[in-house]
Amino acid sequence: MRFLTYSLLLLAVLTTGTHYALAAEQDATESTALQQRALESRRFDGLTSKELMSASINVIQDMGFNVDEADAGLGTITASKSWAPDDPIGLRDGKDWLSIPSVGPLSLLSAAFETHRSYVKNFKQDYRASLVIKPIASAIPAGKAKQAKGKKNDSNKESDRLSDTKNFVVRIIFEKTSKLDANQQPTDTPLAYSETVKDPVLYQDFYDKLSKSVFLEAQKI
Amino acid sequence: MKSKTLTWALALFIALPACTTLNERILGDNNQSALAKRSYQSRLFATNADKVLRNVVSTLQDQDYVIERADKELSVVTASKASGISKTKITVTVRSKEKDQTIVRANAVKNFDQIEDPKFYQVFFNALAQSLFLEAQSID
Repeated sequence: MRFLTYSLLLLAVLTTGTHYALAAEQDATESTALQQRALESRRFDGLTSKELMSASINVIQDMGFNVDEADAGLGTITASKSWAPDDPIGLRDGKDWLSIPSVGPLSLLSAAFETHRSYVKNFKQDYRASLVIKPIASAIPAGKAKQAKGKKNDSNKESDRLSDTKNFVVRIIFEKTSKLDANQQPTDTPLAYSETVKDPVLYQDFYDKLSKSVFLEAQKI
Repeated sequence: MKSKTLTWALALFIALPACTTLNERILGDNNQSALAKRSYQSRLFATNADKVLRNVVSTLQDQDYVIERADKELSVVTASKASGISKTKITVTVRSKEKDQTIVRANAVKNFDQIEDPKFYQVFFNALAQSLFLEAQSID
């Protein structure tokens, strides 16, 4: 009984990290496209397009992303970063855990652990952020600002050029791609699973950071 | 009986902190504030932005980086360097604070981790300063 408890404890320690995180991610929030757009957009006033782009790039850099594409004329930024699970035994560095002396005897249970070993060793997630700023021609009165936040308001017309205005709607989309390579080498057909991240908390946190960055930008820090 | 619950409690204690949530992975861990990060990732140069941007590109190339993307209007350059199994990717942005005051900000990622060691950025900015000095001294 005690052996069972301790072996289950060991199993929990070894596997919980990755599996728990993945299970939590698969709870996708159901929402329509419009709701999704509202989630992903926020309005920012008082900065020129260059300043807003600059603040956005700074926030993206704070988050550890690298900018892949940026276009000032269109107001778009694409950035990416990768993640692989932390593991206590050093699988991420490519070491074969079964060859570590203290763990050697466990190779008797290798069938179950073999699957786990290859899973953790070759698992990777890529994140892409795609940000667009869209100009809004007219400023809306302070009282109505809150209800227009994130929604497309008919009384706001889009101007033709980004430089005409100081009122923008920023929209960001985060995409997550999970990859499992059969070997360590990149393969032509890796097992990959991509999806847009739909967690409202993520977008709220991102826009909190962007608001702070916009403030710093206005202060020219 | 008591030791059994204790064991399970211990199991949870050990296992839970091992997972980072998806949001943390995307937004970046909060062990350093944005301001602290920007302070060691940025430098101010007393030159105009165009000159600085040109020198950023040449400095990166001097350090064996391959330029992947460069945008003049937004003054963003992304470059990467691969040595064996490790790959370092760096994004540098140049902003003009005033007419002859330029802020350069660099952020780099090595494999899967952000580079949070100020020394790495110090090396880059020293090389950039030297390049700007040399350009200022050259006869056009």
